[in-house]
Amino acid sequence: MFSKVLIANRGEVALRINATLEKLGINAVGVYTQQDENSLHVQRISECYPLRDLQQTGYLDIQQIIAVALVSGAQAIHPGYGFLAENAKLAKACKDAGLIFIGPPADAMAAMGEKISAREFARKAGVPVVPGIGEPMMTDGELLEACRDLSFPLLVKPAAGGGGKGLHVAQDMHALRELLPIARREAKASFGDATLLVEKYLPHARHIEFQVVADNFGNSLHLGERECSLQRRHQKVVEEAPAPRLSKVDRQVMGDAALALTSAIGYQNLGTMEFIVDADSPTSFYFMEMNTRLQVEHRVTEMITGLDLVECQLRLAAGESLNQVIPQVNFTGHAMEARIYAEDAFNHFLPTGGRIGKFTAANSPHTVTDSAIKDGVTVSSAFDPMLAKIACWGKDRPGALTHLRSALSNTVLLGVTTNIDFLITLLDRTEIKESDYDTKYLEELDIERAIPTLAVLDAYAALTITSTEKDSWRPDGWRLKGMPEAQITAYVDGVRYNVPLNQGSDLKVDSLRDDFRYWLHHKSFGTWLIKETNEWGTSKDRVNEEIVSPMPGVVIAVNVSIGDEVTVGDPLVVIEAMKMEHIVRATSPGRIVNCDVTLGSNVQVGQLLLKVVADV
Amino acid sequence: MSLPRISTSVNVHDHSFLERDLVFRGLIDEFNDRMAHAALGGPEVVRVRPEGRGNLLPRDRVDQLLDPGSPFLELSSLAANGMYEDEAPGAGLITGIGNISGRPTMIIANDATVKGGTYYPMTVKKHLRAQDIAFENRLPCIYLVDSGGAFLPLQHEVFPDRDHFGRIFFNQARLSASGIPQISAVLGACTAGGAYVPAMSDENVIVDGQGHIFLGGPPLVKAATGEEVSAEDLGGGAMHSRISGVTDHLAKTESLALMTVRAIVSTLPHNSSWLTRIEEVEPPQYNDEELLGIVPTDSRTTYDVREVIARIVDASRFLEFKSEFGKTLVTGFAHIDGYSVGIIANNGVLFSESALKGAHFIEICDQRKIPLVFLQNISGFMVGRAYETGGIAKHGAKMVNAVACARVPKFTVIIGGSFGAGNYSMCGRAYDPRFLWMWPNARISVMGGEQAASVLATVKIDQLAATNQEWTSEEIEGFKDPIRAKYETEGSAYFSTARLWDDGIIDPRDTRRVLSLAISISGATPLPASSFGIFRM
Repeated sequence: MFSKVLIANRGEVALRINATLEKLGINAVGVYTQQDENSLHVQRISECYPLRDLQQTGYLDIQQIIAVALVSGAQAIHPGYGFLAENAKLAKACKDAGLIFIGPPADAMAAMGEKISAREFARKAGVPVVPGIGEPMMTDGELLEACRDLSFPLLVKPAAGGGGKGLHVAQDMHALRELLPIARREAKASFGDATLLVEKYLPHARHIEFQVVADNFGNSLHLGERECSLQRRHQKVVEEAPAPRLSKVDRQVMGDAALALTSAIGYQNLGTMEFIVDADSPTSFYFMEMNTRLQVEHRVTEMITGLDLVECQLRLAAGESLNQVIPQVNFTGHAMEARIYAEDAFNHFLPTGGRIGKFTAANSPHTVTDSAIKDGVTVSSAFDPMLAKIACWGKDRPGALTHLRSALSNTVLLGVTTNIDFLITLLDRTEIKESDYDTKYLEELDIERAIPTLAVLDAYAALTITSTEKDSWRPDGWRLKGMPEAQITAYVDGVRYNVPLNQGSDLKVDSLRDDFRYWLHHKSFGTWLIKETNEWGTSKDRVNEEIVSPMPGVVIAVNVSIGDEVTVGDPLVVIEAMKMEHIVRATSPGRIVNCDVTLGSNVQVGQLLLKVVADV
Repeated sequence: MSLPRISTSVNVHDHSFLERDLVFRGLIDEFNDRMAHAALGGPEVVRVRPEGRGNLLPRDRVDQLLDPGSPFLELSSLAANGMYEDEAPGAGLITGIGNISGRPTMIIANDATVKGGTYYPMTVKKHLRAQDIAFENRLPCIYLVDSGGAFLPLQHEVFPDRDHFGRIFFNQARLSASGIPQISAVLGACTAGGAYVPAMSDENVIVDGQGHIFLGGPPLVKAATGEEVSAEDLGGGAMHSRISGVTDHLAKTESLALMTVRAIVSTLPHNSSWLTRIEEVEPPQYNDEELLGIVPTDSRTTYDVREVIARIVDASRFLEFKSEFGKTLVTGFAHIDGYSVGIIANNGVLFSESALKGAHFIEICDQRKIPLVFLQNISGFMVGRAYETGGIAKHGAKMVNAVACARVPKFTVIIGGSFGAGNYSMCGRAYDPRFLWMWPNARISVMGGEQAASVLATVKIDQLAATNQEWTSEEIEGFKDPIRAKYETEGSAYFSTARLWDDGIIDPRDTRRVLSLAISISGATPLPASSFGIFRM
């Protein structure tokens, strides 16, 4: 076994791997980029090295990571998931540097990393694949020609892609023709490879994946499956094991197929075979892709098998045989996991951000919360929007569901809008209880956020009272008898509520105040963001900003043009006057609708430069 | 050292108590109805509109402006009640004192649902009264402006005189000059005279797209010069904030404008006060609900005013001064919500001794800087030969003089009748109490209706007698009835409060808190030095 392992990752997965290393008495080496220098994984891992962000984030810089491993004396590198986890170049670089890559061999990774070749391997191993076309170097014309034999709708995806990025559905030939150039541009931009794959699109599909394990001696087995059909934007939201509607026979057939492909490509270590199952015809399943790494949702498999999958990865990579690592597999109970995202799930899952002011993980039975967030952390679009994941085990599916619901209710996360309340609402739905859903279910679900209950508004009203006055001006909302009672104004989702200030509130809430915004949480009522005032953009008032020149001078830069979206602080125009450059910035978010300014022109003080109008 | 406790002889199961209670609760019901009606503001069709436009109703504005939970001591809620065909509830203006950013401030808010927030004569009077109170107590003034200016049909009662519209701006200048901040938020129209409220303010806020300031609105401009211009270009927030400089802060929404005002107030200095307060406050020992069964609604019925004092002052403790002398006036020391006060309360008609005792007690409180609380229930000074020869006029004058010249803050509550010179010696409106309130049962007039009718009838009968004519008793009654009716109407608390003869009618059970709030802000104005010792009367 290794004595020192480098964790080439950040966030909760770095903490997850570190936990197993600690358990096994293996020293951990961490890496971090400048913006992570105060993050939890740096605090927890005693030996950490900085990475510089050069062309890309340091976490993707193979050279720097190998260098850190060598300097620190680590014998192996665990890539976690995301970043370099499925990058065969890292596996190869490790081998070249005499280090062990904790994962499959580079060639197996390469074989599965590219969708077209993965399909080909699967087909050869006798695993069903979705009917489709995909060969490298095909032009749009050739691709269109080849698709004539397929039945629409079709799914277009980047061959090198993953994580649901760059997927498009074409309903007919015409749409496909228009889509292809766009899809290629995206594929090239996101994955550096414009190769596309076109497949039959299954409108009603369930996502079922098998956890496979293989040692370096050709032995393999699977640890059962996970159902991950609850997704939005092709990203998983809720996962569970075992798959609730999979028959014993189908499980056997799919498991065998997964193992056949594992052997066919000479796979080693931990991996996941992803299948789609036609919800309209449950016995039809197709190989989708293989993830050659640890999965985010590995906890649910751990919970029903009692295994530590990171430990399995380490021991297999260190050369132990499958017999030693997993002498036998026993499945017990049911496990479910939910991912907490920084998003407004009730509003098209739009990403949110902000500063986490308070985070308390649920302390519920049979529950594990993985997260790397802490109070004071700013959530931005720079990294993955997943803030935490909660996995729960129960004797059976209803038990796991109950534990998960309770854990979500008991999770306090204030300062950033998250999908926690949405998840709770979701788990209460009949379709979820009866596991009657497919991969489109979440996106098609139209549920609205509940309106705040009186108890919540009363609790808010009590929070707004900060005065500690004890004299005549004590904050009891006193009014002359006969006059209307005192009210506190509350704005929730842009709607104004007048809350009578009567007896106060006995509700014990967790709360966070950020200027005139109040976050509050109660396990029975959920998390609420309530504001004392309506803010910019939330009212129906005119929102229209004319940007005028602050100085007479010459326009030396125009950074925007009509139609551009701007946010507060964006530089719009630069004006040179009195030997100084004045940057004219956006003072409100919106779209540029008018741009009367040209480069090099003279402008007068107060002259209209451009107009920003908020999209309503 | 505790003051002695007042012992009560009230029996809440007594038949007369229950009867009085029932009658008083009838008065309270009427009071509540009138208050609720006034609080609504203008007609429903107009009230609904501002909300539809996204605007706030004036009371919502006040609630948002105040610190959450702040008390609000509203003034003259029933101004213009029964006047102007009842088209101007509250005279279209909300005034009152509340805490903003931890500082008691005077809020003066137009109610645009009442005739577009235009100024009726009583609106002007209510506005000026609020400014007077702000001046006396050094309260920063917040104007929530949403007004079309003077109510044109009554311009002769609104525009030209000393205490008419122009006085508002005169006051703003003088208040500002004496260091009392003048801040306004323009939440709607500020036309003509109204334009000067924000213009005369030290600092102001305007709501973009909603607030407008102009001397003449677009229709007037078109009529005067033919120029066609939009309200926004003529006097919008963006124009005034960027070009004219008439406004200082441009707020995107009304509620942000109110937040801006709160932020501005947080930059103001705190007032210092010469008043001191005891921290540990004990409420009255007796339930203030009993006030309703103690106080007779007919002011001719007598009762012991100590029962009222016992239900207003801390722990019902009261150190009576000269209890054996001039017994128709009760004087003594107590605390109200921790503030030391001198209480002067009527317990019958005023005699020379009572007046002398009152003058003496006022001098003592003034010397000790103890605020004075007058509980007024007075039918007047005693009349008759014995009293005139005893010099009741000069003794009464001493008390009137003492009341007029006392430097300490005075607070008057008319808890029953307020008739004749008794009103003067008990610190009526003309004697500049910091505040004056009435209970719903209170009556105020130069004399009672019956007495006035008798006096006038006697004069008439004497005239007739000179020409050897005589009236039958029916003719006398026929002469007296309209006089009684007139006095009945004009003597009511509602008639008084409509005309701003007081600062509002209050429920007797609110008396302690109202006094506490008023006293708490009264120490901000320094007292001048006194130049005489106390004269023993």
